[in-house]
Amino acid sequence: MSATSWQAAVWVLSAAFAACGWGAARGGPWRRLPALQLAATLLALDWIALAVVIHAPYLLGLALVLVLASGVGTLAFARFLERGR
Amino acid sequence: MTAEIAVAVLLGLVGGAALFSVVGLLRSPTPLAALHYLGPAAIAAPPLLVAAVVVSGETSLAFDLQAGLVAAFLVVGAPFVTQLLGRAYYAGENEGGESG
Repeated sequence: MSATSWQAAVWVLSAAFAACGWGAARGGPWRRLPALQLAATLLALDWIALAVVIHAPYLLGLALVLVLASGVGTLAFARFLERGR
Repeated sequence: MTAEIAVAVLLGLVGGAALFSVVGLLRSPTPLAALHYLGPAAIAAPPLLVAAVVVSGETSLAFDLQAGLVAAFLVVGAPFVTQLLGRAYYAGENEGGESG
């Protein structure tokens, strides 16, 4: 049951990530930016769950880099949008 | 068996928080309202996911610690990112630009 739960979690998080990606692809830039940040968060969670399912600890390193890079990237985007108005 | 049920419940909560965030973000009327929905996925879900990893007992201590590190960065960093996003939007809004 545990493996099934983890697989279900991976699917749910992947679906949430896809929906978020759809949200990040429409609307104005200030609508897209929160969706982009949420997509990165969901992808990091997805990779943690996937690392458990396929026994791949290297995915945790990727998730850590993604979390750090997405935070900095989102703030850089916000800075440019703020200046570009 | 108890651990498996606990893992299933924790993962269900993680999925629920993720879906709540996505639906809320997609249905929010303004960008500032959308920022509120970053919270459940970034604050609530990571500790629950790490709890599920630990409770499952299928992983090594190093794996658990690394997952905890990722979750800690998410939980600590998300409020700062959200706050700064809101500030940037508000500053841009008050300069008289078009809203997104």
